[in-house]
Amino acid sequence: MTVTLAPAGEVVTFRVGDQWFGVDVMDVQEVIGHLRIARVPLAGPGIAGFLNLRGQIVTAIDVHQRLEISRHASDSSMNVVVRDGDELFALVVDEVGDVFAVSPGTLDPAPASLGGAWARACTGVVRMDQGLLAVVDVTRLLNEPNTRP
Amino acid sequence: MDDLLKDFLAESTENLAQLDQDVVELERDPSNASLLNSIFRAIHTIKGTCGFLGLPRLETVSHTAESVLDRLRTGDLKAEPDVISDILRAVDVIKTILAELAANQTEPAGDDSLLIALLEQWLGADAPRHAIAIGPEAIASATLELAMSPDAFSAMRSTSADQPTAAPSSIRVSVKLLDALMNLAGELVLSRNQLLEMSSRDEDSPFGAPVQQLSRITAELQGAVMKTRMQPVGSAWSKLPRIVRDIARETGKRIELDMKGAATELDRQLVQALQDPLTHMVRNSADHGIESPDVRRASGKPATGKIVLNAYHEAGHVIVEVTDDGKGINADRVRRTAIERGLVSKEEAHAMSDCQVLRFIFEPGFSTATEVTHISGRGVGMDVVRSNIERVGGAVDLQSVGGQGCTIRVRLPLTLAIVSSLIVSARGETFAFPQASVLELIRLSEDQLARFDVLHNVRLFRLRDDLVPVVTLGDALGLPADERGGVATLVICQAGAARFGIIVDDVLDTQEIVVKPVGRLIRAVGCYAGCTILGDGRVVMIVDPAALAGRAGARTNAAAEVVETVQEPAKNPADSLLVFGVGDDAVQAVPLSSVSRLEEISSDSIEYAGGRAMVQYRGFLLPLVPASPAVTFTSGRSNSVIVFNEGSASFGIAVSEIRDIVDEIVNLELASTRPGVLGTAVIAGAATEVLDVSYYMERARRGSVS
Repeated sequence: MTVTLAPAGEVVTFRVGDQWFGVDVMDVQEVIGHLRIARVPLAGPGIAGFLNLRGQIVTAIDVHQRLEISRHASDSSMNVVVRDGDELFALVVDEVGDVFAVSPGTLDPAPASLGGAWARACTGVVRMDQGLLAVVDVTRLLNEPNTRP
Repeated sequence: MDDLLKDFLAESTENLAQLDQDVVELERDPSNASLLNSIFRAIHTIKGTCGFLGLPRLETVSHTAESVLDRLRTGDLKAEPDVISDILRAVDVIKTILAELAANQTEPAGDDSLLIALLEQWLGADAPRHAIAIGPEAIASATLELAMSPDAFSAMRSTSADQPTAAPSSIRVSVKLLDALMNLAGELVLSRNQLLEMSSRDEDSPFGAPVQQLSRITAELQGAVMKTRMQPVGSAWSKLPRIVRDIARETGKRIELDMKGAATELDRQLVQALQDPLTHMVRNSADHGIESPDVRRASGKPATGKIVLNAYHEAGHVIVEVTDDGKGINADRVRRTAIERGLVSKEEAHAMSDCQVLRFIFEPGFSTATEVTHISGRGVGMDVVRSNIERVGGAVDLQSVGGQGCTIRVRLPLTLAIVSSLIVSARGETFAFPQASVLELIRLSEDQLARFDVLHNVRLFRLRDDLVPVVTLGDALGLPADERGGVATLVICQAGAARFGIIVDDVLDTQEIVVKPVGRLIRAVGCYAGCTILGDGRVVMIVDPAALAGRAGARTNAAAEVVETVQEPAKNPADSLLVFGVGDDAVQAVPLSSVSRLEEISSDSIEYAGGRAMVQYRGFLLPLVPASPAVTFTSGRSNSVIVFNEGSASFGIAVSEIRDIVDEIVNLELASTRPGVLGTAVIAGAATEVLDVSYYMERARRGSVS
């Protein structure tokens, strides 16, 4: 499996639970602090609701739920606003880190043994001193089929 | 200049500017199919429109050029310099003619036979390359033909010198960009509101003046952005004079069409939505309304009939009226037809006012026209007019006096993007209901909430003579139950022919909201019509009542069927009474059939003008009359108001509290001693005054001079 990243090869890193993730910097519009999220009843799991980004409605994605990561009580929330097609989405995460340049040598394909949502969303793994950084594909993360119809 | 011609010129000028570039580009890149297509389209558009406008010279040239381009497109011909040159020559001639048109509004005389011959050599069966060797003198003469009149030349120059001639000083902007601007302006308003609040806390703040300035600019900006979506209503009218003229000619009538308020602006989409219904209404007026000159003279009217279109702003809406002074609509005939069609019982029909009867015109398949002409009268029409108007959140009403003409009044919102809505709460969350699908609101006491009639797991509410299936919004949306007791409100909604009730905890407000589409991940849920951002920045879902009912689906339908069969024996509706309290202990009643709605209106929203109390209600001013002097509007409290409708007029009677609906045979035992009271009767065991609604109607109309 080849891992595709924008020519810059940079990812925006964020933490969910104990895991650090990276998304292609070209997919990210901005990072914002905590915003009030309006819950949408009946929306499937993994959808936190809507938030109001300067008058624009943004669908907030609960990454904890999407990737089945348990939540710590102490977690504060940040939003990574990503663009997919014409629409904006906010990934609700615990912490946002630096923009990180991925050099080709450090990027491995995602392990085949990953299951469920991880297998579909995770496109590669970067070996770092502190641990592994999971690179996820925004479109695949958003289109996770675990939304109830 | 003719609007049609002006549009054509503006569009063609735009196309031609691109055309030159494209043709030259094509020479360099002959295999570029999309380029070729775009050139073909541009010429094709010009050709097509010429036909309408009666421009034979332009049509011939563009037609021939189009044929050559078509051969290029199909690959029969290769885009070589010779053929490109000829196409460019054709483009030049087209430009010259257009410039001449812009200057003189007529096509210049001229002979294009040489150019046509040049072009046609490319159309031969075997497409001879360089079939005709063109001598220099031939070229010179072709060029001579291109020499323009001085007028046309200056028109062309002035176009490039940025003076408003053929191309008005406008640019095309995508609606998406405009929406984005509107969003930003809305956000700016919110930020401004926060700033204003902050600076008002501190009177000495050095920010005071700049914030005021910012505030004014923000309001102006918002207004200007809103305006970008607006279009004069007159653009939907441009075809009407022609239509009226044709009908007049065909039927031998004399008709004058008078158009007022063409500059009244409304949302572009609404102008489009208005076009067909309006055409239909005007056609109806001309064909059925206006009589022939003889008949008109015989009935003492001027021989020339008159159709007046009038558009104006009223209370945040745009009103478009079509009035004719023709024979009007015979209410009795409508009444008869309605009975024949089984739309209404004989008794009901005769109890209805003429005004109510005339509304049957808007029922599907309803036509009183005895003869069907090819123009109108097939019985399709007014129902389509109504559904088209209602689809965009408008309303249509009709008034007619037999023998004197007919007025159709269309009321449209200013914009589609903003709908009036009911803001409700359920289990601590806030939702919006589109006002258009809400029929009425009923306050439910704790008692009523606890004991609904239940039929096969479906709760039913007794709404006067009907049983209406009821769902709880919180349950339908899967919100966790809370321990909230007390009263609730039942929102009676209409979706298609089905009526159902939705229980909400509280009705918070009515608001004009900006509808925003929901994202694709939420769209799948299906029971939201969109979402909106409230003034405080909160995102709120707009519930689609029909979809919500569909979701509670099978159950609601099953219930509806059963209800048909178990319905209580019909009672005479005339005997249903709405009983309410006035002042301390006095009880009064009105016939329920005359009541249109019950509303709770806050005293603070009551306004006074000319000594009359009124309240803004669905974009209208609703006059309010207290049921008795004992009913007062205390500030900070809300008042129960009974809303009555008579024709297009509405008014409200303010009472202290709504008590009950009772079905009882009324015997007026004591004649009235007060104006406005029909008499006193024993209703539900209590002496009750029965009000004369028409008296209050008069008072509401005239102001409170009693």
